[in-house]
Amino acid sequence: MVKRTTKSTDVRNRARFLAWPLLVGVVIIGGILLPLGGSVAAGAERIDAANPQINEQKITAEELATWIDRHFENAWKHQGIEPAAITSDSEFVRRAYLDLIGRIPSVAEVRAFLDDRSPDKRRQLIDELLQRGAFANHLASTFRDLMLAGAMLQAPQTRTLEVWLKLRFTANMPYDQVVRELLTAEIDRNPSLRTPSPIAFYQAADFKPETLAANASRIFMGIQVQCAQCHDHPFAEWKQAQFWSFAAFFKNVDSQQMTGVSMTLTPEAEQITIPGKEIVVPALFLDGSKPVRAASESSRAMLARWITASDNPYFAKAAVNRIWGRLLGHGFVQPVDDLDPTHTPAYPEVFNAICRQFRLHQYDVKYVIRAVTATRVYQLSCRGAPRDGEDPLSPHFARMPLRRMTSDQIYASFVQATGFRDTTTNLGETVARNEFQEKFADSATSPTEIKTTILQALSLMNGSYITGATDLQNSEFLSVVADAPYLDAKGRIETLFLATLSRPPDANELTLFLVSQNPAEEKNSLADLFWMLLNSAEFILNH
Amino acid sequence: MKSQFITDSIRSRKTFSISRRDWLRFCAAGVAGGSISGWFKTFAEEAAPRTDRRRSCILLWMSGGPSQMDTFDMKPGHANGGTFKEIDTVVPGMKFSEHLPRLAGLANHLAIIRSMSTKEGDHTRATSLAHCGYLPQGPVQFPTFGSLVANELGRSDAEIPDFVSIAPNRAISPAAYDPGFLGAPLAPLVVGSSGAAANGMNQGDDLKVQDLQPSNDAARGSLELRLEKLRAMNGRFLENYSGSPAQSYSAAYDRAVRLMRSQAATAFSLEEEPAAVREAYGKNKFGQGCLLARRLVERGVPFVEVNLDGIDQRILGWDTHNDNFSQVKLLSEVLDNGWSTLVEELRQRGLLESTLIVWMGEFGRTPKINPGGGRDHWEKSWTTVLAGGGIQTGQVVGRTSADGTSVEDHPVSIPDLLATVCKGLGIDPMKSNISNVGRPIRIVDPIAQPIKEIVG
Repeated sequence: MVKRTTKSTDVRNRARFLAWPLLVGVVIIGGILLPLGGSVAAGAERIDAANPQINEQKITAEELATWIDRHFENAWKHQGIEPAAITSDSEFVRRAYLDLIGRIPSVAEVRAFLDDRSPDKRRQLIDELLQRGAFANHLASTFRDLMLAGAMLQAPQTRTLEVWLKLRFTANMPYDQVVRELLTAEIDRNPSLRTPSPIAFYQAADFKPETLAANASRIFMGIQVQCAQCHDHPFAEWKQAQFWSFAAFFKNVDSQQMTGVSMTLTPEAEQITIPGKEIVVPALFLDGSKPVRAASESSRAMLARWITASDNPYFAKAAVNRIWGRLLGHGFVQPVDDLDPTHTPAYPEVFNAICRQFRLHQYDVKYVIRAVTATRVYQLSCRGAPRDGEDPLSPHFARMPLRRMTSDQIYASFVQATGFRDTTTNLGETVARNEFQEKFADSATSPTEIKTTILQALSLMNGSYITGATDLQNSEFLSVVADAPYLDAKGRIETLFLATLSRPPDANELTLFLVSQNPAEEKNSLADLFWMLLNSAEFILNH
Repeated sequence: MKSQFITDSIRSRKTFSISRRDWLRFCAAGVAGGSISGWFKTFAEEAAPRTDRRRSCILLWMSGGPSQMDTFDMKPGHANGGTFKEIDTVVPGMKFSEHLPRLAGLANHLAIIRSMSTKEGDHTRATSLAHCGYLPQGPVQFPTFGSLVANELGRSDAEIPDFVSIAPNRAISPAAYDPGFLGAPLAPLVVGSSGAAANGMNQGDDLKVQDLQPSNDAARGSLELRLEKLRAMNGRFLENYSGSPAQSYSAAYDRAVRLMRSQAATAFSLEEEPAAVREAYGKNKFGQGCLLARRLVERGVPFVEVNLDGIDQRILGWDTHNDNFSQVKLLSEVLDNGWSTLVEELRQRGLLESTLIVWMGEFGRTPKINPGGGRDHWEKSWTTVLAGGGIQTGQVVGRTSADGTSVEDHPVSIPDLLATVCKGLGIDPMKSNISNVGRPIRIVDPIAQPIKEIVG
């Protein structure tokens, strides 16, 4: 990848030079003491070797965060990269709420954080947010999107998966167990929309073995085998027969009349016919190995066991790459769902260390999120990216890229900012949430690639929800701000800024929006201001 | 000034398509892929400006897969032929179904391709193939054809988006309506909803752009003031924060505001048309969609897709597994009125010569009639039709066997068809765009052979 600059060669040479007389010693670069292990064959591996425990024993999330930061600081220094500044408190509190619980903070939450004088308040905030029920909710909606792989299902269908995931994330169920349960779920073709269930994963693939195989491979292992469905894979080593052998594990899902129970229990080994070729291939894993059936185990159970096996490196990598990608804007490997061996990861030592710790911590998703969000890397500002062309820093994780809010984040943030309550329901779901979800849906796998459309802009400017929320007669929140006796004109403006952008207005903005007029006009201008804030780039972008 | 509403940093699409980001991706991919110098040459060649006259394309999409044997490739007398009679058209020897009488009168403007032969018999995959021209390949996000055409023929300063999609059934194949690696500025502006939402015979009024104007008077009165404040606010933010989500936001708001202020947006006000005209197109969603397509093409929109998804609130109406003949008869009436009025009106306005109409679904129907009186999915031998200007019309290309089950002459693939359409529109189908994985992807799969009988 181009990410490696020529400077790393210098570093390597220098490291080797210094290491040679010492064999095992320390290198002093830029004032930082760096223990140096035996192998210095590649500069990138040096730090890894220096911290053998990172790959062997469990360390806490805080320790991992510290290790990650130190690794990046060294790597940046060696490459001559000057990272972006650390976020302001306002930027950080907004980002943390959006990433961890899926919405912007309330006015009171922003004020509490800004007023907190504790030096450790950022870490405390992360820990507090991770304890909230809303964290499991947000994680569930994140993984719901990930597991549905861009398929367009009706909102109530996707909700059954979301609730199913929420129950598991609330209990902090290990990720491998979640995936095993999903892959071995009993299948009811006419599921109740009120029962939590992972059936949407199967519906998204239309119950087709080949689509299920492709999705399972891509989502849980980052391996893109679907092209081999029709022909031998043009880039990687997958062959068509291999693809169909893998699809064979889902074969019994396809039959129309089967009930769930019989579908999970098929005694004999599966085989499948390649359509159009009349070639029958046996069920085989992607590495060509044959499944070994434990007593009365279904073929999907054998598959689930293989996918989540601790010696399958792709399982942890696929999850870690996507979690990191969500939180930092880019995965170590891009696109985030393609871990093809030809795609060299950026900062592989960090990637491997997180994967290793993820495994050592029994696939605890919360642990990974805690570690990543506790890093300084996560706290870097988005400010200062060049206006044209690629940002040279963000591929190095030396600046946070801008991310568009997801549909869930937009809805939840809109509700938070405006006090919107939707009383119209359909099948127990609020109609508004479904509408937001459908309008702002995006199939992008990376938050930096989510696009804003003309219709989204029109609905944010003119739609009935925004019109209601910015109407003095309709909006309770706005009328309270407009009429509150304890707020002066400046205080009212400040409240609206905190409610939407999680920061007070600066002096220029106050001049811009503080218009001394008669009370009626001041109220109208507050409505205009609120509309403007809710439509601003600063509102809809996670920055 | 108009185009600089939200920010002055919106770059034209042309600049965007070969941005430094793309270069980096492209170079990064070079490590894994082939020779960089070869691709560089392709880029250099593409930098030449286009001077040809701008054309428009209207895709009449027949969701579900229309029956070729009951429309444009009749087999009267054969057991597979079904119950419809065939009728003469104005082109000697060319015959259509009796339920397409008005189109028969316009056959000199049509080129019938009876030898479509593809390999996808599944709605989702076939819909995606027919729209994108490629099957999904790893992580490459192939753009839908409308976005590709809009990228070539559109203007970044246009008041109406360059790609309008009328009542699509996106759920069947989301990728088929996605701008893919070309990005949000080339996403279709979707008006109307497909299927079950509202598809009665009196529909048509819902083919409006949603939320084009504020929904109450107070908001409408203060809109300009609000937009002024928004511009000031965003200007400050975007000074410090950049990146593709910010560009996408700015592009969307710019075009949305341009559309709100635009006179051209009255294209969506079908009520401006005389009642007799609206009647002639058919007071149903497809008919009114054809009328809207004409109004959009009049205003220079380069790509419009009109979906005939079904009638009476059905979706995938052409998916006639049961009761094929009564369904196809009803659908044919809707199709005949909408399409032929469209051709006539474009001709009257002098626009037919610069407009290419494509009629197609994702596949055809089985020649053999099933026990339920239906026809099932059939991708081996089916029909598409091109109409309008830029092509040789009044002819039939290709031939199927007497029983309709195989192509006997000139098999045509989806890439062949799309390359033909490109040629008809004055687009080089072999031009490349840089994809999301950094690899250049040609507009149409390079295996494609344009149909020389149609585009020379």
